[in-house]
Amino acid sequence: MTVEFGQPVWTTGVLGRPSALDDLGIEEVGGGLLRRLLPGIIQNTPNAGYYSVYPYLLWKWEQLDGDISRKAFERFYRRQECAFAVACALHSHRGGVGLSGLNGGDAGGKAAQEVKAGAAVVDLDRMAETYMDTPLGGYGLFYAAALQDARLVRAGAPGLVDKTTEHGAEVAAAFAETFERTRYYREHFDEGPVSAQVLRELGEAVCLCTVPGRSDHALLLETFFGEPLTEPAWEDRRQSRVESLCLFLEFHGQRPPGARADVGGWRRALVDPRFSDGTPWETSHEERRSAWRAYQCREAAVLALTTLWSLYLLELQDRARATHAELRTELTSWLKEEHLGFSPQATVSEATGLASEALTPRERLIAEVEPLHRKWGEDPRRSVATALRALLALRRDIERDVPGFSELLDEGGRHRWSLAYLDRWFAARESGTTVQAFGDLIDELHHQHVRVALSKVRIPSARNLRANKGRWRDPFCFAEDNEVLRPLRRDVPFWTGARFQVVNQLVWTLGLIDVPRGESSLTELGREYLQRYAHA
Amino acid sequence: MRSPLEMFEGKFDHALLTTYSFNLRFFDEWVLPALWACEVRNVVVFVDPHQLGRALADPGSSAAGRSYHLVAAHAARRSFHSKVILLSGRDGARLSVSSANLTTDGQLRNVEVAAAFDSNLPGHLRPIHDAAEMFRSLARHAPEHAAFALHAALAALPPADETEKPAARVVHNLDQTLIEAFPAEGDVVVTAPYTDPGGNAARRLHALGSLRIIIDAREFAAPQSFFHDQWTVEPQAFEARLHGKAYWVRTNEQRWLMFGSPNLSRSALLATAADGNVEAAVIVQDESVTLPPPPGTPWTDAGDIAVEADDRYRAAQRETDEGAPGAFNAWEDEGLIRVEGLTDGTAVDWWTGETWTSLGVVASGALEISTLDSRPARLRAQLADGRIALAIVAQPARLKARLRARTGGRQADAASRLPLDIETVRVLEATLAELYALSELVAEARSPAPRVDPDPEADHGETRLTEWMPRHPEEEPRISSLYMSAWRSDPDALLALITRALRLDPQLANFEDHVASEHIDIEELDTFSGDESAAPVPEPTASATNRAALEKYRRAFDRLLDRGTEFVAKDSNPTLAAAAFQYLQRLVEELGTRTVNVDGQPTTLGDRSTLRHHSFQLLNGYLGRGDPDPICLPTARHHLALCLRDRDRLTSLQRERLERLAYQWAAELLQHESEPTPTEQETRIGLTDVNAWLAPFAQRTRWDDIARHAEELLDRARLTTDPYPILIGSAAFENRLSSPAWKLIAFAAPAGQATPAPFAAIVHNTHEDSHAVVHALVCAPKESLLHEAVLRRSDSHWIVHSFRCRDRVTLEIAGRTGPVDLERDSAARDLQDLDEAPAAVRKLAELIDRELAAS
Repeated sequence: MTVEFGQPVWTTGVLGRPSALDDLGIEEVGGGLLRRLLPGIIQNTPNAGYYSVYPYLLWKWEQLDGDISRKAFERFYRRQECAFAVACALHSHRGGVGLSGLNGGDAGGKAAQEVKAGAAVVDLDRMAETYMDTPLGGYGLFYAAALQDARLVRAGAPGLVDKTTEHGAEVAAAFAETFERTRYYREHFDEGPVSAQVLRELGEAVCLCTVPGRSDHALLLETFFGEPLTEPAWEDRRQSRVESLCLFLEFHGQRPPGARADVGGWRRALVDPRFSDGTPWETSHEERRSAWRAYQCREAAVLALTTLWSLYLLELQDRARATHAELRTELTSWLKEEHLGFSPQATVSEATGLASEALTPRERLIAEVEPLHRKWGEDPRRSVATALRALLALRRDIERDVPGFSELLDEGGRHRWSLAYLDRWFAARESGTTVQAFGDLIDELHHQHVRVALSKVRIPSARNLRANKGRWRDPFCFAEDNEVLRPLRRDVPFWTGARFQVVNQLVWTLGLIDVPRGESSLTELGREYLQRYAHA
Repeated sequence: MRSPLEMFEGKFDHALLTTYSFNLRFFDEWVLPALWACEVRNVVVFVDPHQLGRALADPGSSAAGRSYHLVAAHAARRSFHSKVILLSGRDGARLSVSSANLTTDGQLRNVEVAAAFDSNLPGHLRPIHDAAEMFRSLARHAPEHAAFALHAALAALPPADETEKPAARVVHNLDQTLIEAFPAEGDVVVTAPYTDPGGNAARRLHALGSLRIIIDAREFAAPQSFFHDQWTVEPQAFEARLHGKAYWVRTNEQRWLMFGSPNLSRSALLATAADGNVEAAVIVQDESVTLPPPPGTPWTDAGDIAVEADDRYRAAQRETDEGAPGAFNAWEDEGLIRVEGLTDGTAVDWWTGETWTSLGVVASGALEISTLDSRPARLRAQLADGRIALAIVAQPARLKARLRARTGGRQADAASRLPLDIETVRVLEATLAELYALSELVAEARSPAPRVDPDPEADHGETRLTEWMPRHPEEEPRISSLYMSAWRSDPDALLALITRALRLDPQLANFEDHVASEHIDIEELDTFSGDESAAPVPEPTASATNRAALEKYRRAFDRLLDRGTEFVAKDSNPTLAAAAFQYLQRLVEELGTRTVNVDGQPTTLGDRSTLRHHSFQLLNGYLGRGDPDPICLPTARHHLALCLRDRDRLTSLQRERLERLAYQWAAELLQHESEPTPTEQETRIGLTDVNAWLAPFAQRTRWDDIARHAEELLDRARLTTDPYPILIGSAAFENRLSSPAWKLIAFAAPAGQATPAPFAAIVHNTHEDSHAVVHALVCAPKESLLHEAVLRRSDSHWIVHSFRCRDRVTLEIAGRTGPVDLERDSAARDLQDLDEAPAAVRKLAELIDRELAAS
């Protein structure tokens, strides 16, 4: 018992280090949409090669009659991942590109440097002890869930090792054709230090950049594209993935020279289907592109809302202590006609029309909000106006009923500020002034944060307090007592990356585009796949 | 003690709380579940009206007014500032008097002062009854329904014992100032975060002898002049904000201590409630009970504390501006909302559809709401002085019912000690979230709360559904009517499970993992070798328990699932039955896959064979209704496959029922593949396997599939449906006993037996040495007969046998052993033609003649 009855005490408090993500609880929705639009590919899985390597390790372990406990698998796994990391780090990649997302890349890179400095062997077993904290390294950290979604792996029961699916086993066997011809496999697979030359040869054979033309290439392409599947649940995912990948390929295939080839260009094209020089983007997957447009509109709203929230906290930090009412008054005073393009006293209805008009065509909306991601604090007054204009303008997009788009408008619902809810929220204030609605919005963000932060902490019951004696993390951005707020932690505006970098590198490793960054163009294989799946 | 909430342990029925500042969400999400875990069902919270006004500025839904009384406490002329918690009930009474408000900061962040008392300890009844006396006084200022609840709580207190020596006394200033309780003289040490601007209280204490004031140098607010008076100010640094208030007085005879809510201010110490605040504090005069100085360290910063404190003081003055909202009390009274503290003619709005809408004008202290189709939950009044006042509308009838209905003891046990791991809780909450969504779908138009339909003839489906499911996750589950009618007396884990009382782990907000992933730039991926806080798949750790506890909860779950099955099978509302079926099957899955450590060994939460039984019973109950909701079919499909996979472990009777279900539903369930399916991880069986288990059953119910099967047994096999389904073909067989017609009629049994019409298999024998030219089997389900007709080669006579055939199983026996084990209905008859055969066989005559002529 920690309560000594009858004894007066000073309470020691419970909350400690301020720490949390997604302080408004609205950022997760974009990630969820991306996982639906591109099943099997997440932000941390930019290398198609791992879709062979990891199934191979699971499959091989089974072939070797390895124990089904995950613990037993770890030692085997960690050595192989280390070997792979060093081999890739030693390899000069195709086209001289720099490759991102090498799991264990830090440790592998260091070992490679030592080799380049003259080390003759790499002690893989020692390296395996520390190269990553997560027991199953890059697989456990990033790829496991993606591989399950890609129909390659089936999760094992808690504590047991995962298994490959039938398709995963085929991919693994195809990878084995190349891998098992290497000297590393034949002579050093199980244990012991390995010579640098052997690891170099391994890199030549199976580095993440060597997928095109390799024995598992065709099956990897089938993993991401493939033929229609009989099981509807998998087929839905496959179709969604194929169509989304085709949108990326179309973007690179149709983009005129000189048009923006970066993530900004991609985002703009998603909301307004044309390239930065005005050339229209023709697609064979109109409905899927509309779904991506819904995603991007949602993310524009998230960026706008998190910008307002970040500015609120910034102002609180500047003041060191303030009431919410003071912060609200301050932020609403920043709304100026010169930034908004209309009077703050205009009704919400009028402001919606004017903001929408100002941000037409819609690529202007992305162009306007994009700088908020990095430069939101440079001119807070302008940032506030930009965010509000964007939120108002988005209402016009929401009104249009478009297949693929409309279905996703309520993603996140009321509690995560879906686009549909945002529209309803403004509609309820249609006849009020913009500045009044903005003040209400600041109130809402404050309340939203409190709701979200509260959900992140366990109930301080006697049992929980006893069981968790240390300081609990403090998920709040501010302390609030007797009406006064005191800053604890800042936040920054955020939107998800639209999978642009990830997919570019992934389709490059598959040999579908010529470079993973910058002015990418389709390879012949890329054109072939785009044509083949034009009407998938 | 880390927080006064730590004393919430045991079994109580009532809770009375007072606070100055109040965070509605903190209370709903954190304090209320902790009270529920102690089985408290009657909760009254008194809050300072201005602070409550601020708390109600968040218009989100709340359990206030429905699950607990929330009273704007108008007992003070200035601030209602006391911070007292009193629990009473089966385990006696517990009291906490502190400086901690019911806010996150007060309970979890600040350095506060507190003491807790337990009626079971010697000397503790006195302070508990002191506090009770204060609450009795507060009841005079509370609405009737809250006063009633308050008195019920006080009635549950153990009786006072005037003979025992009190460990401490609780004092308040409702009638007498606190300064009157101080010793007449002595050296005073004070710690407090606030003082009055004139230093009146400090001056008065200094007059007792001497005064030293320990302050939090970063937080203390006072005019500069306060630092240049006769007393000593001792600034200290604290890790957290010092919000505690304590007064030590050393006289020649004794050491005297007071702590609690009162600041070093005139309103707190020198005035009664009529002229100042309402305060509550503990006074200790026992030499053995001490409170050390607050846990600070000497302040060493170079800044001018007086200037900084003055800045804070001025800021605080601005913060308590005149335009701040207030609060008033409101409660339902049949077709009215009664309001307290508003003058007639005051315009009142209510929160609906995400905005404030006019409700009307106060007349005779009330607002008319009988014409509304929703119940207002939140009101806003425009006061004559231009200020805004807000209120929660209490529902006295509901609160009274809550007071009467004692919570099942084991329910709270489940909430506090259920051996569920966090993954299980997540899934259960996710399931509930689906129910929320369904509820919102059905009842969105009537937000915030449905009105009970007075028409007994009306369709109550929607109302019942919304009664059960909370509209928003923030609300308390609305399970009452269902609980009362279908889950009655259950020692149910259900209510416990679906309350947020189970939010036992900080990682519940697991969406952060996904968000963390999205924050990672792919250029940074390589560096994830050390700090892996973004790990998206944390390894679950199993909870630990002992065998007895596990068995106890297994029994509770068994009863829950039994009652659930009954509900699923019998409830007249198909939507509700569907939701319950889904929920309960999910629960079965979870109990079968989640593990706890029992005496060091990982053990599933549920016993697998028992769960198999429940899963089957649920399937049987739900599919047996005959009206499955399409959203349930994927779940039913998976569980049917699981049961079929494990059918060897079922009893023979269950196996028979299972097969009947499978034949009845497999084909339809397989047709609904396009619906979303549970993930393989949930059921530990893949879609391919599911289909593989169901397909054999589905095939035997579809005549096209049966015809394909016939092609494997017969040459030139075909199916005709005139005059009834007949499978025709040819094969070589030695005698009637080895005819493939037996296997064929057995295979077709599920399809054929599904209707009363006959069905048949006719095989032309290509074995020229056999005595049989044609072998026909006709099953007539209506008559429960199986007829066999053999055309004899030697004389072209038909030999007709009839056997009793009760069901599919009889035909399957025939499929394995021919007629050997069948029971004859009549003796064999030797007929020249089939015109004399039983009616069902007679109908074959023309067809067979045609076939024979053609051959």
